[in-house]
Amino acid sequence: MGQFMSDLFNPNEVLCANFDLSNKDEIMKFGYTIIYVENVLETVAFYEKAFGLPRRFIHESNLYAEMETGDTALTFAGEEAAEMSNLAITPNRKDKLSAGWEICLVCEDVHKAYAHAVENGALPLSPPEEKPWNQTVSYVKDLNGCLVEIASPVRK
Amino acid sequence: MHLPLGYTEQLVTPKSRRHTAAHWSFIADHVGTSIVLPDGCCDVILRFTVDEHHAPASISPIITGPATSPFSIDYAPGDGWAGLRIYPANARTLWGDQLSNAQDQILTGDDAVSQLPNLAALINTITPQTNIHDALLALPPLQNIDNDRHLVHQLIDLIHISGGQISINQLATSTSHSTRHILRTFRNMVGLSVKLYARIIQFHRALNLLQNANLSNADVAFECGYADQAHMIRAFKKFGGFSPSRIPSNLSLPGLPVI
Repeated sequence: MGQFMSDLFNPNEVLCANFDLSNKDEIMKFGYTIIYVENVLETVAFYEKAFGLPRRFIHESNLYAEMETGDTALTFAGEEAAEMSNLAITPNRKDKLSAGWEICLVCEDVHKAYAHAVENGALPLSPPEEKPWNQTVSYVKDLNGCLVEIASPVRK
Repeated sequence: MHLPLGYTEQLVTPKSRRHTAAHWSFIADHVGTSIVLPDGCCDVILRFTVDEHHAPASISPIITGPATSPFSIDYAPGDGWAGLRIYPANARTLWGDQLSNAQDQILTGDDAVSQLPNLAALINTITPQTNIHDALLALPPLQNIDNDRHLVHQLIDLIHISGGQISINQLATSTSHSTRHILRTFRNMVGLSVKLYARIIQFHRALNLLQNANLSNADVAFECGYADQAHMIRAFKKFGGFSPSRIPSNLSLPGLPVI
């Protein structure tokens, strides 16, 4: 009987079932970057124009929008949405010091993308530069004062 | 007239349409006492009683000044209130020159009607079939035509976004106005100082975190920008009348996002 019970209930197996990292459902995925902005519609229009990112959808409240950026969505939420979730934030503003993080958009022709972004209202901060690790890197600020890096993939 | 029992409220969005921040109602189905927490806003309220068919009777108007203190209300089955929470930048439109003395004031009956004459016509049109919410929302909107109203909207937004954790200097640089102009304009239009309004917003966020986030008092005080727990306790006594460790269960919580 003892053997039978231990076959049925093997503590090790239970532990494995609960903490099986090979089970994809259990692994945390990076799903969204959500930037709180003063005006969602203006921000979507800016990202379409300056960076050529198409919109995925805009919620009818105009308080939330997603850009078409693959598995990890770049999204924008109205600042009032932060308060509705009982969050307090430092608002992003063009004429203020940027927050200490950035999004990085990757493309093959960084020079062209950088010039296009600047022509369409992005604030130039650092023109394209070749890095020792074989990557072309440039920086602009968006309409809300958020840092955006435009870079190439790291070449081998 | 089919307002639901208990407390309900509807925030008004988007902000461009906000003459009012929210409309709400409370219909009691038992005897009790409720603590109404201050939200810095003025309200236009109809108090009434409902019979077994939910028809309203004995309707009397109430207008409140910018609320900064907790208020205890006793009720019995059938007691009802329905109200418009006025967007803070419209407080002067409601109170006029009396706003500077209106903090925590309550006008009832004829005094309320003389402050907002449209209330007289509104009450006359209410029949047992009237939906009081619809009637309140049909009041002519309070139109703020002051040149500085956009500045005050901006200040209210910034205070709410930051959970009240923003200094006068930060507000001044964010809006490109002098601190003196900001302080005077905000008080003139909202009826409260920037500092007091921000403290109310800060208090509500701390209360929400204590009730919902399973954080210690010390952690909440830190997250909400209080210098220490003693400062948070003082704020809770002032705006709630209770301490953070003894939060009453009969609070009436206004939905605060008014930006």
